[in-house]
Amino acid sequence: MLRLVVMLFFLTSGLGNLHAQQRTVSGKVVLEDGSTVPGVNILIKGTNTGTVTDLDGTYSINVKENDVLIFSFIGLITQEVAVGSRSKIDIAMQEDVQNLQEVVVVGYGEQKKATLTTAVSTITGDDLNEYPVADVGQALQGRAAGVNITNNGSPGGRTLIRIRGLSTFGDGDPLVVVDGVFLEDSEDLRNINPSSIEKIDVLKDAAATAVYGSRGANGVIIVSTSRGTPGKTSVKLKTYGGIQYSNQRYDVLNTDQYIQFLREIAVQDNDGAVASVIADPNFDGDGINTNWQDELFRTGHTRGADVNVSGGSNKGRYSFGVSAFDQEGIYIDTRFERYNFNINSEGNVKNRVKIGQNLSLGHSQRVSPVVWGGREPLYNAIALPPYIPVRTADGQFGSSLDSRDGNDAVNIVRVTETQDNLNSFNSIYGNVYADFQIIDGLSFRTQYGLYAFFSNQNDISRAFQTTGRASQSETFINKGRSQFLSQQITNTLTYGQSFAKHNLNVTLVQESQDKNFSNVSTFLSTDLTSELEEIVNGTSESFSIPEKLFSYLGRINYDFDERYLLQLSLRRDKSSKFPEANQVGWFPAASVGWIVSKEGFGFLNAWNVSNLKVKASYGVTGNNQIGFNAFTSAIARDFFYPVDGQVRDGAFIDGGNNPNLRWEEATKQNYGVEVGLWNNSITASVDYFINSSEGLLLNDRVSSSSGILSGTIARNVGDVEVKGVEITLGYNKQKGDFQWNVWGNISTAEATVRKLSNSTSIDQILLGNLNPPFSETLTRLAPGLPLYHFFGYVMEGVYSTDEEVVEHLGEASLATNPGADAGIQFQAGDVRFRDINGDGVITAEDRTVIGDPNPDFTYSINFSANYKGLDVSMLITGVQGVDILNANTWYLQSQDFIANFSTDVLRRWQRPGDVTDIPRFRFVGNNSNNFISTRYIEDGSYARLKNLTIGYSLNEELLQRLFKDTVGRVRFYVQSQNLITITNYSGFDPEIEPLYGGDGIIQGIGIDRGRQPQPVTFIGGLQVEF
Amino acid sequence: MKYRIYHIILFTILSLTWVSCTEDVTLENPNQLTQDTFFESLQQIEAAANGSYAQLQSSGLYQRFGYIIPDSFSDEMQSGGDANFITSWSFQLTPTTPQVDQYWTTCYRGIAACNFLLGGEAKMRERLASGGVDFTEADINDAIGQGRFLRALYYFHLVRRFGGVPLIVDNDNALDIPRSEEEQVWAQIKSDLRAASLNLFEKGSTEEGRATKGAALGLLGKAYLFNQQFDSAKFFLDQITGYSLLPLEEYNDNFNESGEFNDESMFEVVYTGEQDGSQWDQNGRGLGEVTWHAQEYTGWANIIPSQKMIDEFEDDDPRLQSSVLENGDSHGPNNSFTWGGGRVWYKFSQLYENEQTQENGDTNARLLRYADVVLMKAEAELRLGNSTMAIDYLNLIRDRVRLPRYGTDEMDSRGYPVNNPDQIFEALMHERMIELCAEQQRYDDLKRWNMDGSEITVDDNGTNRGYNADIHRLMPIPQTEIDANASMTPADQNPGY
Repeated sequence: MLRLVVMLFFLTSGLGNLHAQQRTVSGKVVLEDGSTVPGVNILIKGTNTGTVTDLDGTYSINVKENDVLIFSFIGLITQEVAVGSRSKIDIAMQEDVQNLQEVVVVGYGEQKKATLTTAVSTITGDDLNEYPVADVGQALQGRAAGVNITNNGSPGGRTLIRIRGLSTFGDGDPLVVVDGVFLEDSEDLRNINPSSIEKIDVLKDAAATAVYGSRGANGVIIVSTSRGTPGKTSVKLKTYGGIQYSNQRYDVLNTDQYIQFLREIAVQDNDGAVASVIADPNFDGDGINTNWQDELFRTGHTRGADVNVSGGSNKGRYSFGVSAFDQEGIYIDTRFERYNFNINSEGNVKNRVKIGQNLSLGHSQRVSPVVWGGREPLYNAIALPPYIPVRTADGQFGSSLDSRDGNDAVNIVRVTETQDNLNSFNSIYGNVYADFQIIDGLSFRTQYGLYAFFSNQNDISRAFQTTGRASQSETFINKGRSQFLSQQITNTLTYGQSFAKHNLNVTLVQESQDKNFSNVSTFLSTDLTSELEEIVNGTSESFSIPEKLFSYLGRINYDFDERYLLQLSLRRDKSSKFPEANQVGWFPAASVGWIVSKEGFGFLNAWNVSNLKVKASYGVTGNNQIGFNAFTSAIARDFFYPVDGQVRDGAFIDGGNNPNLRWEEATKQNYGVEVGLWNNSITASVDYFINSSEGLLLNDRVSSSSGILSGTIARNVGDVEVKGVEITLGYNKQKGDFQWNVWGNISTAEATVRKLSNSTSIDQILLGNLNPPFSETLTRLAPGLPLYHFFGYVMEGVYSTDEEVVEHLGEASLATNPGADAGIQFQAGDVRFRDINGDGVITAEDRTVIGDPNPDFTYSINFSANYKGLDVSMLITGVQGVDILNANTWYLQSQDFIANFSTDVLRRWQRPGDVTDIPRFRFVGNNSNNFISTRYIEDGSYARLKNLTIGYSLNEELLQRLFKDTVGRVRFYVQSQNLITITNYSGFDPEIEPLYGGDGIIQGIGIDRGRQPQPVTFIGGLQVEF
Repeated sequence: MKYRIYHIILFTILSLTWVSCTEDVTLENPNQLTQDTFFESLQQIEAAANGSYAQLQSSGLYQRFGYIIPDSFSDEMQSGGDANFITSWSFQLTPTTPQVDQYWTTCYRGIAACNFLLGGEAKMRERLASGGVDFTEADINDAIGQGRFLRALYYFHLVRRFGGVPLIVDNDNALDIPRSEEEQVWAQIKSDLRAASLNLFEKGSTEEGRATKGAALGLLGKAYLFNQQFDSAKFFLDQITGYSLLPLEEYNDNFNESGEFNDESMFEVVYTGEQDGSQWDQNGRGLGEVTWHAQEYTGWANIIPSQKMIDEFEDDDPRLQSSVLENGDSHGPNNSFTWGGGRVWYKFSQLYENEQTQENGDTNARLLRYADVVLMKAEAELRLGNSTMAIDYLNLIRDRVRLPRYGTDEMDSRGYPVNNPDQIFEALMHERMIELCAEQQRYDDLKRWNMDGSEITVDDNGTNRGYNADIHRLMPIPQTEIDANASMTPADQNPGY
């Protein structure tokens, strides 16, 4: 920034010192490759006199003999040259790669990485674009310590970003800022063209995020898009194509095994559901053996292309690009397409004024998997009878409901063909800004930012007929149209100056944001036709959600000799989300650092320590992710009461209001050490953090005497503490043509609930309703214990005999001989639970903590090497010490109704004396065998080869021969995503997204219900640069 | 330099001016009405009043437990075995019994609805004073009268079942309220009803279904009777005008659907009988409001008249046929149907008009009728020493059903002489039990007379019902309330639970 100020100043001053011995020096500034550089600042050292190179890179300046010229330009290494007697000085400047990487975007400004006192991770555009992804969020995986990504595997499916673990019960998404413009949701990242991104900075500790005040608690992701380099016109073209698939299948019963299974369990069948299969002892499935999982899965295709053009001069710079991405899912009838266009430009209009703009348009379209009747596609694929054909000879869909047995799973091919879920999403984000240089070191920037999206949801469920009883005579059409518009104005006043060795930078910001979301939805059911896609005479409703935010921010950065570092910041937010008394919040932060290596301690040199920095930070941020007008209850008008024979509107308060509602507050501490050895060829950093979130919003139970209809009020009652360590290690090596580096990180985030309610008698909250299949809750919050731990019984095996039940729990607990107050009744073949409290019966009191879905640590290793034209890179990501509740076990083994199951049921308990781990078939509801227990808990640790790329770039001689000067670079590559996954987890994929409740509050994490596997991807691509 | 300083000042001013214009971030809710903006029109005021009635329709009150609980406590009833009745009938309610919680919660939701209406009074009067509104002083008074009547009614339901309960009269101060003394609750009830009696319209001057002056006075008299303040009871009951006892020919109109809002009826909970799928957890919300009274008492026979109840009827009392059905009895329009479902209650059964009972019951619950007022007046006069007046009132009830008057040889020979206050009281007890049977009066009458312990003893089979007046006069406070109410501890539970 300082350089810019200086540059602009000299652009305008135009006054030379006309002294006696003055003469003119001229010359040309070029890069190492010979290309000329316009816009280079040239300054006579110790004066205010200078000039700038023109479009051809030439300059001329009046100098004295003993003057020294300073040549500087952003991104290039500054050079000082003594004039001497020369009249022509040509300069070759070098790109300052190191320096480029070392600037960190910290929100409302930039900062040198070397003097940073806060926890910020930077991911370069090159890393992000290493392999094609549906959205930028996915590309963040494994790229920064403490940043965790989960994606649900379906194309265009939600990508969840968690920074330093989960520390709220509500929305834990980080704030996303693109070129200073706030997006609404981290999910909106998917409409940003990854190849337009120059870099992403992830702000992790409160001292970094406190500048975003009431929105900083979950961390901040700052995306900077590229805007061209003066003097270099570059055209980059990328195209790629490939396939994705998964060979994972559950081993389920085939037709013979299934029919045999039905005949065996018919003995226990209470309601004759399998009778017709039994009634026809010759029924053998008519030779049909449908593998329903194979019908659901397919090999999907991926393709994409990007073009990016950038360039500039000393008057301005620009960048624009288009991008297309198209991916078929590995389930039939799923797809995601994305198209982007972006254009950025910046120009100097006056001596001290610079204006610029960013604009990005995105369109995406998603065909998502159909969840039919609350059942995931995978559930139906497992449970369908194998003797049913997909289609019969006459073209009708086969149906399980053809009365042969009680199986009610639905034909998934029929479901996908008769139901369309199409969501298209169009977005615009952009800004225009002006930068005024007021005096040296003092600049004012004003920016108007806009983010808008338009979403079209189209769901059609068409009437259908099947061979069995299942049919639907009506066609249902559901449509939603949403519009979101956010406008923001940011005014920034920056003063940066150095006094001797004192460096000072002061930033003052005033910002306002105005948002409005509106939605119209309409619905129709008709039996007239299944052909139409639009609605006539539907039922409609609409709503809108406005929001306003108004803020001030002040920040001071001070350092002495880039050795002793201090940063102080304070933000004041005023938000419409809260009641008037609580609208204003103050978010302070402070951080200090000491660059020990600058002290010149001898022992550091002796140990080859090139960099050593210690830092500490403390700050307060907020999380304002609560619903609109959550503090005041609305008036419902549907408490009808008949008066005078007519039913009249009756008004009553809809839920409880909490006039004291405020944002969640996170106090975060960070302590870090950064080390560089052997001229920074080895780098390491360690951060320790303690995040204490207070006043987390929970629907707290209230006294029913309050009359509050919901029985709960959203209150700031929860406290959660997250502690963790992040370690990053890197090694760079260059030996001749062979260059390689390896980089890795490991992070822990231990989240513990500290408080749940103001009422002392409420010591736990049971969450995680996954019904079907479970009527009980799966997870629990309790003070002193990990967030969302699994809560249930401990399975000790399967009772081999009735005698074993008697021996364990006594006669009274035997199902065939029920006694009073005996708790759950068992018999031989049932799951045996541990009597935790030792009272001789199994009751709900015997439930305990049975698993922790929060990992011990997560890690990633990134390796890359290149030799001449060949390059290889590899990214391994992993999670260790994590429990998953595998609800698929219920799909595969529950055996309390008629469905197809895993071949595991072939070894189920069948007669007294059987010793097995699979309980008997038990045709009842509320079957204790299927109660939430350790039966479902598995270790979900894994290591995954997320990316493997091998590329080859044609050498320059060849290019020169083939294309003359037109083509600068040609690279071919092949790559694979998710090629290898090492895990003991029995489900398809151990990477599980959280389970959200209807109110947006997380119900549980690490719960696998019919999760689609991450596909294995193979892609071949071509990159050309002109 | 001057030029530069000027620039700084300019920019600072520019940004600051811009700031001051937009600092206000408060927004109005475009989707729903809020408490701030409510009470702007007569429609809204009436809607708040209507919403205050709606909780009476809920399953916690007159869809089910409002009659199940007090009726099954009484000696009028023999259990039919249904779980919803057997726990209360055999006095096995615990703090976690769902019906206890539902009854409690429903009453308090009703109170919150009333408090919402009453809390808007200042806004209504303010807006009336500043003009341009479509409502009048009288509209406000009527709405406030209804709110106070209904709040008293909900507290009346609470205080008789739970004793001293949290007293909440302001929604802004409704969380974590400790239990009050029982007298404070009664004082609130009486104060609300006095105000209601001054604000409300007389029956006929207001719409059918709304609370009236007469209803407020009747309930107020009853409250004083429960507090043994007989002079006050008499004072307010005597002010009731405009009601009459129906002739015997129309007596069934007190219990059937076609006779709703008759001249004897003083307050009813209105049901439309429309089902909207929410009837298993009816909470006052939505269009569908049904009462299951007919199914519970008649169709399913979950609770039936006890032998003691049947025996109490004089042989020639026509009220027996209006109240109870036995096998072979005829019922329905012109007695065109014959009953074969065993001994059941006829009152409120739908069978006056239909062959069978249905779940979507639309017979209004009659909470107060003039016969009760007449009997309360008799009781007040008796307690105040005016035996003649007491007997005269009792005989109004006798005259209507064309039975011999008290004080005649006939009645003396039937065992009901009225020669001294004790004997008159015996007659009063008899008359209330018969006239108001299965109308949720008997158990509280017994409690009021301190006779519950001696009357509620054994069932039809001679088995002890387990009633202990020291414990069961009050139900347990729901555990959910004790858990979630920061001002309550387990020590606040009623004794014995």
